[in-house]
Amino acid sequence: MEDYLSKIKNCQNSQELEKLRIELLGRNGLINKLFSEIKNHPDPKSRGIELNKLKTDIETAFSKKEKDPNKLVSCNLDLGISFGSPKVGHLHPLTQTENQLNKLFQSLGFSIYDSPQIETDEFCFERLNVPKDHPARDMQDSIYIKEPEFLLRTQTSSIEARLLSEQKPPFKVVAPGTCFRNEKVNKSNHFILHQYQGVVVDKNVTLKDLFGTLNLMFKTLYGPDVVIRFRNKYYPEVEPGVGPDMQCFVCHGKGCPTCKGAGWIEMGGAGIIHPKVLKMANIDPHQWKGFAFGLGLDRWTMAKFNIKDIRTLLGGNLAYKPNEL
Amino acid sequence: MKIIYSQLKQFLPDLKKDAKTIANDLTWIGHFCDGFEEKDGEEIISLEIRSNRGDCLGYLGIARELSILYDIPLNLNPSIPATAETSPLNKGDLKLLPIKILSPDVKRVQAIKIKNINIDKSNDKIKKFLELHEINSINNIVDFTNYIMFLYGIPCHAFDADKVHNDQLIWQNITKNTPFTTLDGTQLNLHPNTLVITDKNQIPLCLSFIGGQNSAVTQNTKNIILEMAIYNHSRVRVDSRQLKTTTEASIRLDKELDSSLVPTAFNHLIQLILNDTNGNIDSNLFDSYPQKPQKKNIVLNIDPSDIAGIKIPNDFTQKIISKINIDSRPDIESEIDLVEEAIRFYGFQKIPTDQPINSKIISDITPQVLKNIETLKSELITKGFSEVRTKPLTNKKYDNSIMTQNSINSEYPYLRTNLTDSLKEQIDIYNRFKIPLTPIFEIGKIFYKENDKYIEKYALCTFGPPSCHCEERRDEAIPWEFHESIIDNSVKEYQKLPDIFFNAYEITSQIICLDANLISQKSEKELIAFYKKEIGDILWNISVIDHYQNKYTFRVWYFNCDDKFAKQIHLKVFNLN
Repeated sequence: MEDYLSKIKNCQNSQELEKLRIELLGRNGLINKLFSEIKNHPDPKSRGIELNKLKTDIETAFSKKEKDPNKLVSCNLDLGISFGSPKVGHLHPLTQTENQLNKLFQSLGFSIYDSPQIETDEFCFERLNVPKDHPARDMQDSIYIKEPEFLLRTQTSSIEARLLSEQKPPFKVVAPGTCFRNEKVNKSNHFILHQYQGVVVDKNVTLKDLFGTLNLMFKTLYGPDVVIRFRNKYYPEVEPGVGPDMQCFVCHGKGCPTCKGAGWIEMGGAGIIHPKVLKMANIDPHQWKGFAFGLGLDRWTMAKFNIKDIRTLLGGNLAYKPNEL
Repeated sequence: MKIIYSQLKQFLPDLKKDAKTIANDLTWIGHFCDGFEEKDGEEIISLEIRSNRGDCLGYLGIARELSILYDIPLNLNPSIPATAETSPLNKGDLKLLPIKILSPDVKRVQAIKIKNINIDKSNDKIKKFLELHEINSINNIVDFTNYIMFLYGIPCHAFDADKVHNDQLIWQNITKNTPFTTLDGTQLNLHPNTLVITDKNQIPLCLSFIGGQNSAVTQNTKNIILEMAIYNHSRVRVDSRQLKTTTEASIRLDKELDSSLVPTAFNHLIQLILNDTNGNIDSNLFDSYPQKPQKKNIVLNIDPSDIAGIKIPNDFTQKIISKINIDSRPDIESEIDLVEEAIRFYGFQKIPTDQPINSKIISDITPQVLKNIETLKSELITKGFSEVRTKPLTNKKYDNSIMTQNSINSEYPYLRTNLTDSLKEQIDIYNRFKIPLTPIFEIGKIFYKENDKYIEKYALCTFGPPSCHCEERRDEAIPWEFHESIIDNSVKEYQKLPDIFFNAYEITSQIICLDANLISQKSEKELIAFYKKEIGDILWNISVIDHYQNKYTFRVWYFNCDDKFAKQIHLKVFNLN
């Protein structure tokens, strides 16, 4: 009995599970066979009770297994197409990077979020404490759909602005997203970039929480030996603002062409959400505090997959080696 | 912003720390050191000054930061700051310059006339200073204005007074398109509203951030008018961007600067010129201050420890706040700004980095559509599809397409209305590289206009064999199909993606396909393992396409190498020579 329950528990996919179900509970399965032999048992009544319990336990085990999403790959969605059992495909490198981060943050209790890519000036700038004449707007040249109101989001911070206006705290959220800048495309620059935003709003959120969380993230991505520092840096939507840097992996802090002599590589922006940003979302900054961070994913992904040309990432010459190798 | 270490000492005589330590400490407190070099016996620190700290675009601003950080005194220039009322330069028999301020974009202007000057080359100290800041030395007057700009972070300008009609300067916003020639001879067409300094005949002599050729100081100049001004930074930024002209002055003036510093900086400039040129003051000091900022009164009720997550002693916070002159810091507006000051001077490096936020689950607010996307991706890759991502902008136009207004990438003016077009382009790329056909999919946003509203939705597009021929999907005789559909919020069973795969490669040349016949007693599996190892990194795929008794036909795909190299390797590995 224990063997069968263990087999059910260890099933890796729906096909395997179904095979086992037929073996045990099918018309000619083991349970029915045992029931058919009950009349020959010295104590048919006790044997009947015993077999009924066995059947219930097995059915319960199947039911539990079917509801366990982490351990069973099943095919419940109707995609309008149906294939047999071909080779396993591949996820895009950017998706793989996003998934690696998502898994980490989901283990820390974070939800995943997204918002429109066609964004309004209000959610792209105003609600992030970037007023119309603020120098911070020089940092990003935007692609407009209808100037000045509608544009393609320039940063995943706009997801943060939407999140703050749509959800009631407390919450912990990460959001991978596509952003757009009005830049010429070449080997190193693209007008489409991919960022990863994190937002936490709760009662007692501090810089210590932010530093610890980002440090864990970098160590997950780059390994336990990576050296990270957190320095003060200005961003309008946060105060205090934080610049996480990674010690250059080529020169280990001495300075080289890769890090432009600085010894460190800038990894993004972060900080404690500015009270003005919370207020604009009708969140009381005296009651709630939060941190936010935003990081670029393109460079990480390119480094991880040894991709030299950023254009490869989107509709480019990226291909997957057949996995039977 | 470049800082010559030795020059800091004129503001910080007690500075003992070495240049590298200073560079590192400035980085921690918000001024990222992005370069360090030794040149002409000087140590030069290159700093990235963030856009809210215009005050640190001069030596004085950086010296103020270090004075607080190291608790050492700040030594302002010994010359006495002057205003119109207090200037020792003012004499009874001198007149005030007939200056008019007509523009609302002027926050403060000081100006003075100096006569009988000797134009000459600058001394070596000034020349070296400017050279290390990558500024060409022009003459002593122009060089002094640049020197003062670097010291205090406030630009200033010298006019040849004999080229200014009746010494009259007028600050105004022009009302019509006007030609203007800059000091370096560049022809500009000024747009209406550009802030300019004109003479009484409305001829522009200078912009807020660059001088004009028509009033330039030259070797023949005898009399000059000096001015130092602070403007509405937005006006300067708009002008600079519209004219596509960036100068050291515009980099500073397009940020909020401390207008109370003007008397100190301007007086220093006057003293330098008087000492060096034997000139004489020929007017009283003009000081117009139409936008004098109100004195700030910020009470700190937030404990910085509550934001930092570590204990910051109260007496430390009080000491730091008392040292900061908040009226000279345009970036400090509220108590959270003071909290940041306390934390950054206490030290970001003192905050622990090994305590991530607790992992309690508050509530899962992940939208169902994102869960559905994860499920779909999981389904698709287990069915053999590989994911591609394509550009959301395209050159394909449909009736309901949304067009971008100002994209500099004119080849992609529209947002895509479907994913099928994108996948077709991707397949074209694969064909160009001769990559064997493989099922692919994309999940991404599509965009369209509907009743003048912008709509965007998640969509899925697949390209693969039709469902009824799933087992024969490698048979190219059966045409593959595109399927595209919208992904919505309807509740479906949620499942997580399986573990990740690392098989993605950047393809730089066509895939080369070669066959090889051989006879071997080994099994297919053993042979494949052997040849995989022999061929190495350029192997894309290898398979047996025919096998009879001990005779094999292998098909091998090579990638990221040229035809010649692939053949060479192929012949060698399969011993076909």
